Amino acid sequence: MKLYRLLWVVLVTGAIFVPTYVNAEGLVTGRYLQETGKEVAIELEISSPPPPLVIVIQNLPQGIKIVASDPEMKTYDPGTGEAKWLLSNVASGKMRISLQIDRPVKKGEISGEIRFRNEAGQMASIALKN
Amino acid sequence: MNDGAQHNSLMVRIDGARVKELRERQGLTQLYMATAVGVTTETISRWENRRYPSIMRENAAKLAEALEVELPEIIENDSEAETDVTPEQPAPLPPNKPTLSPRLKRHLSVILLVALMLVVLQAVRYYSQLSSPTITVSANRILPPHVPPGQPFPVVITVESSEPVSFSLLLKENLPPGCEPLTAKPKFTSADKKGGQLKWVTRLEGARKVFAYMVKASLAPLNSELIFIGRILAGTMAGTSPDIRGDNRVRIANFHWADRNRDHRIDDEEILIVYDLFSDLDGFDINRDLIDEIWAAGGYVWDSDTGRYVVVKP
Repeated sequence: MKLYRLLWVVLVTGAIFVPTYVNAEGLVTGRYLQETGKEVAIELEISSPPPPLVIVIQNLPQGIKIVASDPEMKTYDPGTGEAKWLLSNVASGKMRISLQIDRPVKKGEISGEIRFRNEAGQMASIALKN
Repeated sequence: MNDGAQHNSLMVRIDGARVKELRERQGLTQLYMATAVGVTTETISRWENRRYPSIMRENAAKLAEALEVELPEIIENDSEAETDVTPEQPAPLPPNKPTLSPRLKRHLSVILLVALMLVVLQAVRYYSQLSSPTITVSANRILPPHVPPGQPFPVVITVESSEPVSFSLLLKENLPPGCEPLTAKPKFTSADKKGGQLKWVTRLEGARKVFAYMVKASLAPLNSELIFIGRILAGTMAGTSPDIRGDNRVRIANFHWADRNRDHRIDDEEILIVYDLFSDLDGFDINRDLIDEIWAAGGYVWDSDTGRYVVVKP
């Protein structure tokens, strides 16, 4: 039985030191700094190196008008309430997106997600945290 | 006579009652004694309950050791002895301990050895790559799956070395008939528009270099295929000229080259692929504004009369 134990120890040790590939979904994360009232603020945290493109999708109640946006959004459909940003050449670190809308929203009325290509070459979709 | 004398010297008479007394005084069990001597508990019990059993000297010595006394203390002195003729049974395997059958043990050994070999091979392969003196260079081409007639489209060739190097590189690309090269990054060293051959003579510094060029096929009819062939020659590969691997065909069809699934949209995944592919090529014009516009609008159609994309909202 000592031989079996030795073999298991060597097997486990070897598995630890043999390189393995890790799929890192966490290149970009985002959360709401403000999600009620007439202002919506989102903070993104971007890893280094940053992905070439980050898509931010913000879902608002239908019919809401966006008064101002920083940075400028690429597209907004009031019929669906979907606003989208196309963020290229982003720097690693924190980034803020602000929206001013024409009527106040309540907690839980809005949601959003971010999309980017992860290190494995797949599209990652991460929900914005409240 | 000699056999008898020899046998007698191997056998001694012990005082079974004394053994029992010593054992109980020290709080030892018959099982403990049996394990120490290497016999069964029945044998221990028999020795203790017979007056002066005759047992093997070796076993008597083990008894004394287990009882932490000298051998003479448990050996009978002068009374008549009762010879224990019952064979001293060896101790059985410890109870309640699971045992593996020989067949299962063999299978388990084989599995463990194979797993160990795989781990060792993987480790050897990894660590040998770190110190391998052999450098290999390869080139991979990425083409869009389709493009409308006469529309420019990008071709990306990535040259990679197995480790960082610094040597000269010759890249040759043969364009399909009727294809016209437009722009390139880095610039072509030579572009024979008539013969359809492109060349780059440059250096590979590091482990990776990306070449990209825009090309259009003005004369290729709808549903035809364009076939690309190319080779590389790197400084260390004397006498060899590997082919460029990866994509080598583009179909002429009424879909934007970035619309990989032909649904007349450039969706999130498709635009992410475009940006990922060209992120290292600042200044290389792939008409990104049009791609962004199609993505934002949600759709497009190809107007074959005007030879242009028309952005539409679905």
